[in-house]
Amino acid sequence: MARTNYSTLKTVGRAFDLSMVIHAAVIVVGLAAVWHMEHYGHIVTGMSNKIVWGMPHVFAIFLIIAASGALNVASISSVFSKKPYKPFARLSGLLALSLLIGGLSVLVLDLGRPDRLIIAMTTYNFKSIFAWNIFLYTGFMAIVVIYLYTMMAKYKNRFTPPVGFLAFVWRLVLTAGTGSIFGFIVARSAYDSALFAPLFIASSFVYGLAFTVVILKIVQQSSQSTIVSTEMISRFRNLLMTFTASVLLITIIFHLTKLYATQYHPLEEFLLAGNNIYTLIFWAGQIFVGTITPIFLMVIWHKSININKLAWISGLLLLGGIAQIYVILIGGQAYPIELFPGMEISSSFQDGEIVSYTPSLPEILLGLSGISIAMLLSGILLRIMPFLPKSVTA
Amino acid sequence: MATTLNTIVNTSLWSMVTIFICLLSGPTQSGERVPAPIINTPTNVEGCIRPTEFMRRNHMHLLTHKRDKTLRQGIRTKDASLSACVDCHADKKADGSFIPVNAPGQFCSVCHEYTAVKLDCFECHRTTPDLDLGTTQAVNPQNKILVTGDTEIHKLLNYLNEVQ
Amino acid sequence: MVNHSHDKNFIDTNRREFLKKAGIGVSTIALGSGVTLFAYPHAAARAPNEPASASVRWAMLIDVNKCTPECTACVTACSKENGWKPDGDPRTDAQWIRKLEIKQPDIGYQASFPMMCQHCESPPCVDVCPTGASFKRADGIVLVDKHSCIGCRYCMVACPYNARSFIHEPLNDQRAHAPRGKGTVESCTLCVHRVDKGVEPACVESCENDGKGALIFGDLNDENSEISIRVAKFATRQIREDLELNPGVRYQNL
Repeated sequence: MARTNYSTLKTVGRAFDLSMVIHAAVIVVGLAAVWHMEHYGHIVTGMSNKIVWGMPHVFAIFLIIAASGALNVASISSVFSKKPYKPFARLSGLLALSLLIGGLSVLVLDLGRPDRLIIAMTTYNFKSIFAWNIFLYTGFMAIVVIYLYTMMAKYKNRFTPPVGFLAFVWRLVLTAGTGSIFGFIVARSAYDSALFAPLFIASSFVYGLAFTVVILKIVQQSSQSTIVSTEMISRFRNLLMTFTASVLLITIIFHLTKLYATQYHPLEEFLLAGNNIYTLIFWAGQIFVGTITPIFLMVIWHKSININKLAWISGLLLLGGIAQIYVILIGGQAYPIELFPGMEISSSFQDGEIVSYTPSLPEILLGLSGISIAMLLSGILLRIMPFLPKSVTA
Repeated sequence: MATTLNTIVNTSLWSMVTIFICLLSGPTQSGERVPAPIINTPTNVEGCIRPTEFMRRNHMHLLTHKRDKTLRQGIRTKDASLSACVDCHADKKADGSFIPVNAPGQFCSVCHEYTAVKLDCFECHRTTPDLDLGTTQAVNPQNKILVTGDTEIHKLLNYLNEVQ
Repeated sequence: MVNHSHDKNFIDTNRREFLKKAGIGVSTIALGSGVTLFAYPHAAARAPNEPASASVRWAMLIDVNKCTPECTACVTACSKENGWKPDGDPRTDAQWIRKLEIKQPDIGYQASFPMMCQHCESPPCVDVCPTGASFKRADGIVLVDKHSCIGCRYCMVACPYNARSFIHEPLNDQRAHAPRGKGTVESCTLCVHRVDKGVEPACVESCENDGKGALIFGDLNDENSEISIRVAKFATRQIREDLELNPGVRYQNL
C-alpha cells in the first residue's frame, strides 16, 4: 500500500476564494448583529421569556453536534484501525475543530452578558450539565489539536492511537452531555428523557459525516482533483445509511414511549399532529427531507453512488438536522408547562398558551455566521497546512 | 522578484513599527498630559467607611468582597452597602434632583474615565439615592448642590460650594 | 492581599444602627396586625451583620379561597417595591409575580391565585446554573447573583413554574434595594431586603392591607409561627409536588 502524502489545498480558479470572502462578510454582518443585540438588549430579537433559546441556539447546537460527529472518520481509523479511513483523519480533525469553534462562538455571543465569558470559564457549578459542557468543549478543542499534532508532526504518529481513543471517548461524553442539557430538565414534558443523550450521539454521526462529505466535494471541485475513491464513497454511503437509520430508530422509540403514557398525549398531539409549525417542520423537514428522501436516494443509487450524489444526500441530511434541532429546541419550549395537569390555565405571563416564535434578522444572521466561522476557519487552515491526502490507494 | 517583494514588505513593516513607537512617545515628548481628575467629596458628614487613601486603592476589593456577603449571607450593614455609597456621593442639581453617580464628571466617572476602567455596577444598581425608602435608608443631607454651566457665575457658585 | 482591619478612623455605627432599629420598630407596629404575627423575637432578631442561617426556613402560605380574580394587590405591590413594571408586551415584560387563573374544563371549577418563585428546597434552577449565580440562601430564599449571571437563560428552561424572567432592555430606574440589569435573569426574591430587616414581603403586606388577607409569611422551622400552625392543622399542598422539590410556597384550598 502506498504511503499517503498530504498537501495543502491548491485551488483552481477564483470560486473558492470568493466563497471565503463571502463567509468573511457574513461573519462581519453577524458581529454587527451581535453588537445590536448586546447594545439594545434581547428585546430586538424574537426570543422572549417563554422561548428563551431561539435561532442562534438552533445553529449553535447543530454545529456543536456536527463537530463531535465530524471526528468520526478519524476515530474509525485510529480507534478501530480501519486503514482506508486514515487519509481523511486529518481533515476530520480539522472539521471537528472548526465546526465546534463556529458553534461555540454563536452560543457565547448570544449570552445576555457575553462580557462575562471569563466568569463562565472560571466559575463552575459542577451539578450543572451546562458547566460540564463548557469544560468538555474546551477540553475537546485541546484534545483535537493534540490529536492533529500527533497525526501531522514527524515521528509522533505512535501517539495517535491513544490520543485518538481519548478523543473518541471524550466526544461521546461531550455529545451525551449536550443531549443531557435537555434530558435532565424535569420541568418540561418535551424534555426529561434519558434518550436525548443517545439521540444526540446518533445525530452527531449523521451531521458530522454529512458535513465531511460536503467539504470533500467542495475540496475536490475547487482543486479539480480526486481525493476520494469510489470505494471510500461507498463506505461513506453505508455509514450514512446506518447512522440515519439509527437516528430514526431513536426518534421512533422516543415518540412511541411518550405516546404510550396518557399524560403525554397532549404533548405528542402538539408535536406530531398539531396545527402549528413544529409539526410541519418535523414531518416535512426532519422526516421527509432529512430521513426518508436520503434513505430512498441511498437505496436507489446504491450501485451508482458518486461524490456528487452523496453530497446532495448529505445536504438533505444537514437540512433535516436543522429541522430536528428546531423542533426539539423551539417546539419543546413552545409547549406550555403543565402546572395543573388536566386544567386550563391562563395568566399575564402566557401560562397555558402555546407561544409563538418568529426569529428576527439579527438572530438568523448570528446563526448563519456560525457556519461561516466554521467554513472560513476550515478554508484558511486547509490552504496553509497539509490536511488533504494527495494519493490514496483504491 | 521575490527579493523586491521582500524589500517592500520589510520596509513597510519597519516603517509601521517606527511610526507606532513615535506615536506612543508623542504625548510625553511634547509634555501634554490628560489632566488629573478632580473629585468632589461630600463635606460635613460622618465620613466614609474607610479613609480616602485606602478607598482610592482598594475600593474595588471592598466591593468584590462585600457584595457576596450581602447577597449570599444577607449582611446589610452600611459597610457592605453600595447604595449607602451612592447616598453620600451623589450630587444634586440646582433644582434638587440627583445626578446619577456614574454620569460624566460625577464621582465614579471622574476616576474611571481617567483610568479607562469600565464601570459594570450601574448596569444593575441604582445610580441615585432612593428617596422612596423613607426611614429605612438615610440620605446624606449634605449632598452638594452642583450648578451646571460654564460662565463665571457658575464657576463661582461651584467654588463657594466647595469651600463650605 | 488587602488588609481590611479597622484603624483609628473606625466609624461608630452603633448609634446609626440603634436609630434604624428604633425606626423599624415604630414602622413595624404601625404596619398593622399581620406583621406582628411575623415579628417574633426569633424572626426579627437577626442583626444586620449576622449572616442568614439555616435554622430558619422562610415560607409562604396562600389561601386560594380568599383570592379573587379581580384583586391584583400583590402584583401591584411587588412591582412598586421592586421597581419592575409591565411594558405592554407579555412576552418580554418582567414578571416576578402573576395571578394565575385555572379552570377545570368539564367540571367548571375556577380559581385565581398568585404565582411566583416557589423557593424550592431542591431548586432545579440552582442545579442547572453553569456559574452558580442561581443559588439558595441558607434560610431557603432562592436568588440570582447578578454579579455572576451570564444571561444564558438555562434556569428559565429548567424552572417548573416559569418563575423567572429575563431583562430584555437597558434599565435605569431601579430601586436601591433591588438591583436589576439588562442581560440577567431575575425572579421573586421573597423581598429578601425586607425579610432581612424583619419586615414581611410587600405582597403579603399589601394583601393584608388592600387585598383579601390570603397570604401569610413566616418561618416553617419555628413551630410557634402562624404558618407552621396552619400547615400542620390544615391540608395544604405544593404545586407540582410530584417533582419533590419541596417548595417553600404552599397553597391551601387548591
